[in-house]
Amino acid sequence: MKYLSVLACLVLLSFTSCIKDEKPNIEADIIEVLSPREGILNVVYKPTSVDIYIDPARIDPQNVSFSYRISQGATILPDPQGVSDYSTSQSFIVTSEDGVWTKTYQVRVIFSDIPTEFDFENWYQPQGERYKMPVDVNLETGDSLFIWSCGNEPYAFITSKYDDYTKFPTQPTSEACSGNCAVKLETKGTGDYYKPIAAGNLFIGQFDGSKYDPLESTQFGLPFMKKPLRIVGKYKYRSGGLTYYTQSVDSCRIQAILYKTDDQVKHLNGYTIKSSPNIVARAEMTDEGADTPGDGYVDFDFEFIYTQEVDKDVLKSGGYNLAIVFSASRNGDTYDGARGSVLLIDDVKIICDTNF
Amino acid sequence: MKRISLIIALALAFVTLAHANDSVATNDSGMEYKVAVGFNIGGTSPIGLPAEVRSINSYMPTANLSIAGYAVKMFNSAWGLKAGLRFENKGMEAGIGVKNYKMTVNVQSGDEVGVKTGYFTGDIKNKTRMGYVSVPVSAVYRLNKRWDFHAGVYAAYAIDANFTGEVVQGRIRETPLTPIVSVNQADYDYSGDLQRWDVGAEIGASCKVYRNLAIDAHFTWGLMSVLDPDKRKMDMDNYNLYLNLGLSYTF
Repeated sequence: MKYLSVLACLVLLSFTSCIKDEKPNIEADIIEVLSPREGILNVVYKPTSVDIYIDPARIDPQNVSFSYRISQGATILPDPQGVSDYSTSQSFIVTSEDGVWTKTYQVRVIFSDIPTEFDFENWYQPQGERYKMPVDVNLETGDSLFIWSCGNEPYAFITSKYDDYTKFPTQPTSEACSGNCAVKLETKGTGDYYKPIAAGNLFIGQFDGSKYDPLESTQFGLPFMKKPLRIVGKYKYRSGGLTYYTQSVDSCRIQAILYKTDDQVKHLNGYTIKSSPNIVARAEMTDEGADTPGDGYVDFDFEFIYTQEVDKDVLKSGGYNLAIVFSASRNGDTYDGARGSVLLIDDVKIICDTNF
Repeated sequence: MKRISLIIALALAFVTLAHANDSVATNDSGMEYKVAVGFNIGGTSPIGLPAEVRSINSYMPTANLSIAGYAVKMFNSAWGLKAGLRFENKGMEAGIGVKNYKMTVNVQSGDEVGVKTGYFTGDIKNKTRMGYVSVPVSAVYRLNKRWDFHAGVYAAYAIDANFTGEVVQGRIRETPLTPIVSVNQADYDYSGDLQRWDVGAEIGASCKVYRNLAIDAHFTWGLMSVLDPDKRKMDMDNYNLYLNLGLSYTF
């Protein structure tokens, strides 16, 4: 049999030619901001935008030159080396090596921390996508601020047959506590054997769908330069029933975490959010996260419990990140959620220590 | 299993028929009847791999049995014509690595079943299994009492067509403009999008080893892509290229 296999391979090889030269690459991405190495607090990469959070004490937005790692073989215009004024957002056009695909990126430099109040009134549809995401306003510049992420990005692929944002786990709802809009998070089923559910979730940070390990895909937290004391807001929860794996009643999760960043820890992921030594304070639900009473929203108010001292100077120069995580399935990170669990969130505020 | 039984039953019927005609199958009339069993080994493979294929990771021939009956008419001591009916499987398992390969996967379980198309980078494990009824027609050249050579054409129809596989450990994006999504594993099944007809060339030899028993070998080269170019979901034309080895008995 062995000889026959060899013979068959020889026959095949004589008819099929060898591996050809690689085709020109079709990708046109800004993959990474490479430099300067000092003063960049965090970078949020979206399909057509790059938000660079800086410490204004170390980087002057009007006189800074960033360099980017782009897809293999791709070209970028204008040459980033010739662009030094990022006081307003700058456009770059990235063209793939094969010349077919171009992407226009908006690169924004953000030199303030994230807002402390979220009413979830404003939503946008990312270019070329079918889902919607909440958008905030940078109070200093008036620019849009894209600080929230969720699992909608990978879900967009498996639901490519829909052109309907309400099919996604994270979506706006008119069932609001105040104003016209609130967040609706609904845990959905998927077709993936390894990732059977997509928990309805929303968090501050970014989602990197290219990671194989889903717990590494969620990158929690963005720079925060105040000392948070409490997180308050309104929520409504309806469990979808028994979870996928452990068959226990699904419950929701609301948590906020302040942590210190350093060279190793630029963000927390699904693993490190549980017990990273960088975590300084944590505010989370004290109850089980069960269904809320009545038909409407109920208040939540969780105190940040500090386990480490906050260094004021480091805080003011952007050395701490805040992560807020909402999930309709408490253990959605490990896909142990129930389809149909729905968490509504509105009017979230971070109450900070004004004297610090 | 049912299908194999059917093939065996049909072949037996053919042998019986050939036997029934034994009395007329004399050397005087130049007619001979043969039954043959063998197996196919080879690939349903592109001739010239697409540039998106970056590596061939594995190849496994599958158990492809063939059973056939032939009638041979010799016009003189050297030249003749051979025609027959062959039931045969052609199939293989192959693993390839691809980069930015445009393909469609169909998610078959869970809530969101349906087809998803995108550019995939990663590994593909493919299984092809075709069950053909083939009608070969060849010219025969008889070198001596032991050796026959033949070359000709065949037409085949697949009564059974399977082209399935999985994509593993890769990433896919709908277009280069949409985000990258990692894929641990996703299945595809293009069995409904296959071309059931195949025509091609075949060339072979037969060597008598003991009385009327001969060792046969022939190579078939299909000219029709198994993935139907009109409905294919994978950017590839693939052709049946198989070597058949077996035994035949002449009545």
